[in-house]
Amino acid sequence: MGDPESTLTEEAELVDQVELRLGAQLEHLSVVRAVAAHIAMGADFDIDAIADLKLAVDEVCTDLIVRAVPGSAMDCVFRLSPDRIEACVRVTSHNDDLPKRDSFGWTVLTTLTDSVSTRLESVDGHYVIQVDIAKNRTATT
Amino acid sequence: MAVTPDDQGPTTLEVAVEPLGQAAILSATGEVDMVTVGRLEVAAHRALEDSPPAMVVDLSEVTFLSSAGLKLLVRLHERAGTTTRFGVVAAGPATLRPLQLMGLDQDIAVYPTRADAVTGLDLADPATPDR
Repeated sequence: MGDPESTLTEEAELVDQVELRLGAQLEHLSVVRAVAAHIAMGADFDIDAIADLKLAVDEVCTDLIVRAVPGSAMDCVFRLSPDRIEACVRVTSHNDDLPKRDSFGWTVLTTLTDSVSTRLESVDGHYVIQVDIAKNRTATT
Repeated sequence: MAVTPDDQGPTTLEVAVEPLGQAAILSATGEVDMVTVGRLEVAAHRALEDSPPAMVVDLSEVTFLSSAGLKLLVRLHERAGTTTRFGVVAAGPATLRPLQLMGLDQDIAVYPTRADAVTGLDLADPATPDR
């Protein structure tokens, strides 16, 4: 992000990127799910993979919205590459609790996606929690 | 704007309870996420209060089932216990797939159609009085 890359390169990267910024509210979940499904459809994912991505994105966002500072924003970035879709979701939280790895929701996430990772950053007395997931395109044979 | 229970957000979920003989059939239409799961939960627990011999949660018209929905099905199955035969109707990538991927179909009886659930759970034919 802070790379001394040329603006042209950054714009080229944005070509395959969709960014959403919305209030960290459960009422917005259906919007994020619709965008995730739409992107997966556009990338020619099969119906199972579309459903998986939609459920995984919902899981990440639900978990993060619950942890977010009330009234704050949630940022979602979807990146498309030829073989996978990545979704990165971040919120600002009052505490440093990361999604629990022994929870049912975490099991759903790891079952439905090909990679899940979490990041925690301390910023001005708050915490920024980020969850990255990736779903590979399944071989269509 | 009309005020209906679905005016809580853009996610919609309608739950209808239809008795079939002594059994309770809950049919859900729409999306089951963190916003709407409570509606299904309330309707299901209300139906279980009468300890029906069987309960079916029909998800045929559900287009999204979140982990909150999956967990609810597990809780309902547990609460049904040995008193109430419990079954779920699910087909397709939005509902059946997560049930299977999470292995929940190992414990919960899942049927592809309501007719299969009626047969599989041996639901009382409304035309025949008890036994």
